[in-house]
Amino acid sequence: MIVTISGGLIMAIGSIGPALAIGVIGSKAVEAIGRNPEASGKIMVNMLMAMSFAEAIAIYSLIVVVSAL
Amino acid sequence: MYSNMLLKLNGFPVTNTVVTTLIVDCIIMLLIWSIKRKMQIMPNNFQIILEYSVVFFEDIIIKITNSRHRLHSIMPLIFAFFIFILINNFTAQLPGFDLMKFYQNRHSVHILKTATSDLNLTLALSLISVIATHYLSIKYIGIKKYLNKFINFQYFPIFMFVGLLEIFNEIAKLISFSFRLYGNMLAGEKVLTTIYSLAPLIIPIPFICLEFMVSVVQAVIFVILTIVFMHIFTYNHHN
Repeated sequence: MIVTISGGLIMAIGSIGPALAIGVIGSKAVEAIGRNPEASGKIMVNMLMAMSFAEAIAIYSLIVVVSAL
Repeated sequence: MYSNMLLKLNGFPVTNTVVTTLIVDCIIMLLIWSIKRKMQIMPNNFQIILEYSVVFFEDIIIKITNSRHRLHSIMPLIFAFFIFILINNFTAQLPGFDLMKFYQNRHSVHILKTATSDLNLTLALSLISVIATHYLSIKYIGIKKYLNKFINFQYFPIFMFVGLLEIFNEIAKLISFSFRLYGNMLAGEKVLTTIYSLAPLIIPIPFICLEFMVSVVQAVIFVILTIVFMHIFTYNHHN
């Protein structure tokens, strides 16, 4: 039971930052595409890359949870 | 979830991820051989895909390093990385891939498991990447400048501390390289298992598409990070 609660806490706290980061990246990318629609291909690639960097931090907490189980 | 040991050959444990890796190697070799056998000036579908991906990575290398000098030393390694990681990631989506298993002491043992969702393989890949980066650094900027990055007595306490940080940076690089790939594949596996148990029909389709996208993006990111680190380490500041 203790493991489950701590796992939930790790995932919950650890995914706050990446969630905010992905939101900011997405909103800025959409803004940039709205300003300059021709560059959408380049923006999309960079957006996906930055998003997966942010996502990796949430993944680290997932690994901690999984390895504690 | 963890890789299971299938058998032991002379004390060397053969896990299910090793079997998958060997099969993927065979697939890659057959694919490249069959494309190479039928090379044409008017390319067919597979040749177009391969040529496009080669040109894509050549463009990225030229864009990042701002020159063509390093192309022939970086390209072979990173393209091998890309193909290997990509096809390994795609094997997770093969239908019936998880179903092949047998029972041993009342534990189910999978015969095949996606190799990139095993930390051993991703750690090996990141070790190869980091060691190749250091080798290229010594080869292109010389051992003196290379050591100067890590041990520096200029302005005594400051640059020594920077060098210490550089050494820690290398260890952090290993960890982030290996855990990013491993964690993404593991997370995908877990999400798909949950979705399959909740609703096995139709509803998993968008998640499978997402997993395909994640596979491609992770392979590309591994490669681009390798290129960036190789560029940083082989860049000669004084000319």
